Amino acid sequence: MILNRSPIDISRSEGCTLTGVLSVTGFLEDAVTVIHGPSGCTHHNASLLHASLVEIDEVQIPCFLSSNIVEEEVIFGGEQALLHALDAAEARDPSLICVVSTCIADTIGDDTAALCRQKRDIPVIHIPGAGFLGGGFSEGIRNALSSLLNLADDTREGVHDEVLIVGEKNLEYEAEENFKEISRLLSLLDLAPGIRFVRKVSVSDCQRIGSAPMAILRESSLKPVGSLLGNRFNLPVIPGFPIGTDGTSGFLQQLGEYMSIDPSPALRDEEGLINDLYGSFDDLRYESVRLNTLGADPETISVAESALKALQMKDVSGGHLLPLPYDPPVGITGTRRMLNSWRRSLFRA
Amino acid sequence: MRQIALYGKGGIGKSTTSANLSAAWADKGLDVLQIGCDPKHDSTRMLMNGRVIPTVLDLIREHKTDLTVSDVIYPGYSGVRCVEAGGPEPGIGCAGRGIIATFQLLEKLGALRGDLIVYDVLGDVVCGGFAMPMREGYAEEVYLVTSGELMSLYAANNIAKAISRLSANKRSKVRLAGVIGNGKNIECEDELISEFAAAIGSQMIAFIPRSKTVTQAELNKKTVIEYAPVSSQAEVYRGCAEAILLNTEFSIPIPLSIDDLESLAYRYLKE
Repeated sequence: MILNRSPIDISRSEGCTLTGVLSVTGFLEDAVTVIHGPSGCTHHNASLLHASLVEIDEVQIPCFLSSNIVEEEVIFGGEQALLHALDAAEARDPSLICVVSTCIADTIGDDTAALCRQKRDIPVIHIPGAGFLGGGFSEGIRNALSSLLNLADDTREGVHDEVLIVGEKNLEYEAEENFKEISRLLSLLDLAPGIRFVRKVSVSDCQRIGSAPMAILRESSLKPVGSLLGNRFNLPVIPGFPIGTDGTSGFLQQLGEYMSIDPSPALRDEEGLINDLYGSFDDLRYESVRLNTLGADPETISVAESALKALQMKDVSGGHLLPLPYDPPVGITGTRRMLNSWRRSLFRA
Repeated sequence: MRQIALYGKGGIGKSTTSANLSAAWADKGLDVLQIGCDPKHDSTRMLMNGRVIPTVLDLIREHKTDLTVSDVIYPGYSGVRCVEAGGPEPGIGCAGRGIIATFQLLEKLGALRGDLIVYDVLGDVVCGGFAMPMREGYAEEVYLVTSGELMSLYAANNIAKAISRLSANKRSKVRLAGVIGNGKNIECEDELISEFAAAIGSQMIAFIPRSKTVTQAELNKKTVIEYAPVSSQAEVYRGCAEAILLNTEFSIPIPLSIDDLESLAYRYLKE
């Protein structure tokens, strides 16, 4: 029995497992996701994703279908309802059907995985999404990525230089900026990002992930997915995007090591860019401030403290309260965004 | 209107007891409704002379919203009105929710009426659905059916726990009304069950000895009351039915700890 409960934890990463799964499968371009549960689970999550996507100027709503379990299915079992939903999904002729089980389906004991294994013309993948089992939003992302790994071809033919990017946070406002930052860092070593697993990719892209030379995880919570990649494809894995300006040098060194490239020129370039960054925020130098650390991620606080030090800002109790980003800033770009928000805050005061 | 629920371990004889009690009450001219609350749906079979009636849940599945009282209630021996809740196929769905849906439908149809309603409930209170007859003002009197076997007493004790817990709700009217001993030919069995009943703060209402007449009646697809009305076994059932009608001692039980229950059973085994 799962006894992991956190009734007072309402942070984003501890939301519903189902939402975490959908934040991944919704970004598979030619797949349909079937949510095996009451229609409310689908409606609520579609609305939530819609709101989140509109906020980042994305208007395309992912294709979700519900098996529409009602009391009758709760009593007699919902497997037939799932089969109907799978037929409806198949009629849309997708390249893949993702089936996500919900709390109700798992409570009444529907064998969702077995139904997904039944032979169909279109591949069907089962992803556990029942939140009552104790996992949160992050667990849902891990479940989705781990299940989608089953799509990958076993062969590593055609290995190239494009690095696999794993588990980007599709709903975060800065997702594209963070990706650009990683692309910039890769370019310093004459590398390029390859398949984005899973962000706006096709099912056939997912089949090729084993051909990447290495993988970069969005964050360390995805290490179990990284282990699967490492074990199955023998891929070296960097366990997270670089955090702040302090993280980029280590990131470049690890990249160089895994790809057998001397990172020294890249590190020198990066050092210059970091100096340029802080130089462009000279107007913040020596300001008396304090950080709004309430509920902040420790890594975010660490990046902020580094920035304070680099700009010789004074952290005093009566100082101007500076906002901190929700997610730890990624590399130079993330740090610049944070410093810009500080500048706006200071000069508005 | 008296609303009575019989609970006990699976296979202990709840359905046999319920059917014979219903038959005895019906013979006295009382209007009796017996509701089988077990997915096995065989509670009323002897009252229906072996006929397996359609279950409420099967009918819900087929007819959806246009069900009437005559679709779900079937007249059996001596006018006993028979209902079977039914349930899903073994291994799928949620039978407990099925019981809740059945009660909601019967209530909507105005079918919960008569002098006596008898709820014959699945062996153990495995989930909230099977506690439904004890909640929401349905059954107010619960009778535990048990033999002297430890596992049977264990199940009865568990149900006593459920009654005790449900009684904590101020709106709850459910009470333990007594224990019915259903003999398995164990030595001093009636004394053991009687002591168990007293230990949980209740009383043994009747002890039904094991009898071949019950088997013969069931093979002839009848209750003992119908098959052998002048037999001593029929007299036992009638006596039990009368004792229940006269019973006014309802209590909130104090369930035993597993150690106390085992030592009680062990003592009788030793003696």
